[in-house]
Amino acid sequence: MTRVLLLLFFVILTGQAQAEPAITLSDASGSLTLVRSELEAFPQTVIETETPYYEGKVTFSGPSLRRVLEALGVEGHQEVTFRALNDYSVSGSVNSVLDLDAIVATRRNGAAMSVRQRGPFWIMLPLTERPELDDPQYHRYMVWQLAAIELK
Amino acid sequence: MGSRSAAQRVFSRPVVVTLFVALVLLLGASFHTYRQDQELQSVSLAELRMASWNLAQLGHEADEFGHELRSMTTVAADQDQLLLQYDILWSRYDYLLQSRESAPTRNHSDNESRLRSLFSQLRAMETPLMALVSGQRSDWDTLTMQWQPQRLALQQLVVDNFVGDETGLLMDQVQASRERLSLLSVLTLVVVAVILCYLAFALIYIRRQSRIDQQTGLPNANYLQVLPSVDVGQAIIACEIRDYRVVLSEYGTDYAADLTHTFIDRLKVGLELYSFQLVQLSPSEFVIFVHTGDTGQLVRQLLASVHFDWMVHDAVLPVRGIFGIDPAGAGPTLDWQDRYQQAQRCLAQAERQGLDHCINNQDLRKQLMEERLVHAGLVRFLADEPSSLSLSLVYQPIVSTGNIKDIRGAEVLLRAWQEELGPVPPNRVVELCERFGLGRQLGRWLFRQVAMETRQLYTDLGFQGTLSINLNPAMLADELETDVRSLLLDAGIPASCLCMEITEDNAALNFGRINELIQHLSQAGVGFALDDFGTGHSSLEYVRELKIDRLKIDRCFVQGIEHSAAKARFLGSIIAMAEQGFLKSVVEGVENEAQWNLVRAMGGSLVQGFFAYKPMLFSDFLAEILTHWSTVSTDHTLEVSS
Repeated sequence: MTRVLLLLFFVILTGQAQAEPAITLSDASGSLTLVRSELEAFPQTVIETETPYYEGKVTFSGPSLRRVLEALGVEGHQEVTFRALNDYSVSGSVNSVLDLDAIVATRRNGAAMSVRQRGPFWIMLPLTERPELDDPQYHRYMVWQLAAIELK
Repeated sequence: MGSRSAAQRVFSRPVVVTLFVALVLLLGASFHTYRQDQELQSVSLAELRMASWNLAQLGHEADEFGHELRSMTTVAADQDQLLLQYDILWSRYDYLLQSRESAPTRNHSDNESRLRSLFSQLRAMETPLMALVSGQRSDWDTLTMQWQPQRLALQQLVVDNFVGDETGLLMDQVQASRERLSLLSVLTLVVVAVILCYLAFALIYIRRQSRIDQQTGLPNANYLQVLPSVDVGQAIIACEIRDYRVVLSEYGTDYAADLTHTFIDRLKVGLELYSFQLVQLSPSEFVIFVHTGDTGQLVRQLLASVHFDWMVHDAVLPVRGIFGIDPAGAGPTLDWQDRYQQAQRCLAQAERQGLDHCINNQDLRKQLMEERLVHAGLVRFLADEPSSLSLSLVYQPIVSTGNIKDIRGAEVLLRAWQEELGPVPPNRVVELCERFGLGRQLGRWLFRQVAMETRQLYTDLGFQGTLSINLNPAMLADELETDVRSLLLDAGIPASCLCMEITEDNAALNFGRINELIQHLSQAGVGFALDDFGTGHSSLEYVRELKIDRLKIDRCFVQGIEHSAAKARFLGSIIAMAEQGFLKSVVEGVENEAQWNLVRAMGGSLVQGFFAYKPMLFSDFLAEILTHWSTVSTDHTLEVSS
């Protein structure tokens, strides 16, 4: 466990500047780090949607949240917590979050996102396709600068 | 009267309009405040929350960056973390200044310009920061100095947005709106409650008004409908102003209303010794509920009181009230409505009989019960259904004064028999038929019966005597000719042997019309007689005006002629008068030999009376004719046609 944490620290400390940005998945039994190329190796979903952040439609792409969570294993978990680089975090039940058809966006309009552009990863919901999700109670799951996902 | 006008003021149009306007204004104000409140809640509060959240994050992220910056001169220095926090802060400014979602935050007050200024100050740190990180410079303190004013300005921005005037004002507005809304809600509720009470009172008022006559202020017919009961110790009196219609038609509504008021005052005078309640059904009809033990005394007082001369213009009109009374505690205990009906029935009875009052007592009830029995029997009998009442005919021969056995004809008389009542007086049968619209049915039955009984007498025996038939009033109509032809003449009764008797009462002064009827039948040979001559009004006028052939002199002119020469002379002069007018006279009611001899001495007339013959069944009448045929005068030869 300590070794894993040390490894994690190493990845965060070193990886931010030079290496690929990564996301850390963890649960009680351990953790898993996925870098952007690994995430982009998963089947990709493209969402073209209006957002509260930009004027007009923006295209986001990345693996589905479900697929990302399955990399660690969804079974047996009740709650999921998303944590951002700025320490913002939000939690919800696994089932309700999976129902949102969210993706872990790695690219906006085809380009990778920097931290200044609220990347590198951004939980994105298909707001245009599912207008019922365009509501503050779902907006809070749209975590930008996503750094870690914890399952409980 | 005072309370009434007060009530009228309360329910006047201005009050109603004012209340209505107040309610509409309050509802409008409530709605307006509600909308304002909704706006404040849905827009301002959401924006405020968003702004607070974003600025809190900005403050937090700035602190993180400042913390990393300060640590750069210590052992905990972490360049990557510093750059990451710089980028995070940078993205926060970018988000606040660019994103659609944060537009309300930057649009609030002068937030946008302050944010832009802060963002440009942060970007100005980028070059020295990069130089420091890459090791080209090492004066971290300079950068920290550059950061300090930003941190303070940023803190001030956060503070201003959280607890500054604008936020406070917004919260105050929300609070004020809330208070206004709740106040308005209470006010609206109060006004609605007031209006509901008002409506309830209005309803009661209207219901009460609807039970009061607007002219006189007396309870009206609607009051009777809600009257639950009447003490059996109270007499129920139905009352009517007899001459009201005359006043209304001759003098108009104002005078009629005046008469009503006068009459009511008079009634109250008549009732002043009693405890009573007066109800007005119409301008001329009243009902009185009055406690009295002595109905007779009360009626006398009432009659005296409402029997008065009413001055109108220069004329004096004798006014009379008519009363129908159901006395207190009389008869079996009935529902008051039934007693009220009895009182009305008494009033109708009094009117019918031309009396000034009629009391519902044993006799009247018996009479009414009998009338019902007879009426029901008549309806069934005339409809040819099995009936408790049966009608039959008897014949009273009319003889010549020359020979008492010389039967010149007969008057057909009606007899009625009711199973329970026994014989019913024929005039009562006729009166009931007239009252209940059975008159023509009765007449037609009589014609048919006469024809059936006497036809053979004429067709087979060649009898030429006259049959006198009383016409009840309903028969004096256009259908008379048709009925006489189809029921009598067509059946074989010679027109010349028929004499229709009209009484003075039912000739009813319309001589023109009656003469028309007479003329139609006279042309066919049917004769007409004026019955009961001398008993009605204007008798001589009838004799002069009606085109009749016979005069039937009433029995009252015969009574006593054997004891009084004057009476005898008077009868003689009537007969003489008839002769002068080419009328045949028939003297009725000759009951003894002395009378017979006197009438006979006067000569020239026919006689009908007990001394000659009593009314008899047709079979006896026939036998009588056949018996005395041989003795009759030569101009009445019997022809046996068979």
